[in-house]
Amino acid sequence: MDSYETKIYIAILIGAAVLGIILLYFIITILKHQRRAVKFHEEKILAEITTLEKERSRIVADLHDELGPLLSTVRMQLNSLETPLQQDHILIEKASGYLDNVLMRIREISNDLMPQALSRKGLITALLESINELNENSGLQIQLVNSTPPEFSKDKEVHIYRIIQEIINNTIKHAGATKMIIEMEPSTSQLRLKISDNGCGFLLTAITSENTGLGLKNIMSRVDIMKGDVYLDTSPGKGTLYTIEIPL
Amino acid sequence: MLTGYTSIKVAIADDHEPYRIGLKTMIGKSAEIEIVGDAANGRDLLRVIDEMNPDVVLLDILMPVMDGVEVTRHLTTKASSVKVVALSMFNDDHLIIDILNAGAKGYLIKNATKQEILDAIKAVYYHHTYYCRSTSMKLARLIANNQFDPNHKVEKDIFSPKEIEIMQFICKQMTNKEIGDRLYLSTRTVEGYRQKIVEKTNSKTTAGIVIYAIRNGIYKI
Repeated sequence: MDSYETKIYIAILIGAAVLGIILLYFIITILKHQRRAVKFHEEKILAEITTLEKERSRIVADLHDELGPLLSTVRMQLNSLETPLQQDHILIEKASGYLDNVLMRIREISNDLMPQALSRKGLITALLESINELNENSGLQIQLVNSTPPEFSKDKEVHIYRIIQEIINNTIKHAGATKMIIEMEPSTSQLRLKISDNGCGFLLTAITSENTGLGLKNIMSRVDIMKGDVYLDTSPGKGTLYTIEIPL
Repeated sequence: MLTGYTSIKVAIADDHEPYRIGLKTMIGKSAEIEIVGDAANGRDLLRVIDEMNPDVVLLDILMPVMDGVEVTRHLTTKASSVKVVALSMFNDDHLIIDILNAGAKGYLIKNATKQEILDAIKAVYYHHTYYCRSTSMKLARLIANNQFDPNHKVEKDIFSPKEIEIMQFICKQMTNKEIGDRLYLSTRTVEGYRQKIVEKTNSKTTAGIVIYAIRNGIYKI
């Protein structure tokens, strides 16, 4: 009897162990799968963003190197026409005006796509230029505080620039703010970026996974790529504070 | 050109050929201007300047091989008498700041009229400055925001604080070893810095560094 009981116990124990191993195997497989899915998702986003930035740079290069100079040449040639007729003068002036508008739009479009300041002079110069422009032409007054961030790679600088650009766009579109402060707090391990506005704010619960605006999604994707964190602090009537931590 | 007074000798640099040729034709018609040469990049322009000795250059900023800022900086450090008018498709703040800090005396965007271009050439030839309307407005704002200093000596900020310190020690006739001891650096590191300074100042010898430092207010005597 004793040996019979022992046998049953051993059988149960073996059964439990086998079940445990199977369960463990499943859990590990699921975890692995999940990790792989996350990694795949991250890689996909990175690939998408890289392609996007590359494509933007290519379009800008085409605009800068081909269309712009060509239009400038056409404008100059048009202006070197010498005609005694008053009507022709008016026509030339009108056509030049249109060409000026096209050239201005080319500059604006290429600046939106990839600011020259960002590739030539880096993050701070690009930010200052864009802020100067907005301070003059929009109802929002932006102030950049402590503008000495640590040295980042070119890619990271583009991400940080785009994140700030997206937040500014969101603020202009939805917040009705008049003031915005962009603060950079560098430390030995990370850059903390604090962006606050005095706008209308919003209910955080209004943001659900399905309902996240494209702007916010873009911000989060870029922060994820840099292995950083975003904290959003806002409520109706209280303005919005984004805190973004980017590891060095 | 045959009007009894000397014409202003002008060279043009722009990497876009149709624009360069168009510009040549347009301003070449003016009696007061003589186009003495043109180039598709900065390096070729320096060659043209050496050979033809122009009074004024009309210079595109973004060019391959050697851009407009580098050319201007080179001319300024060599104390060349050639006056630079930047002619760019863009009026981005950083381009204006860079080229003016490098030593350009005029800035036009490419939709400038023939008259504006001629005025700019004449203004810089007679030691004045000339900025087109949109650039003037930007400059006023940049100066007001302390982002641009019109009295800025040539490109001090192309040197790191350490390089400036080492240049000042060089001017005090200190040896590499003495500088190293003073700054807690190895002699080899100081040599590295000295080499960088030689490159940045376009000089060949220590005397060149000293002249550059004094001329640009890095070392005061």
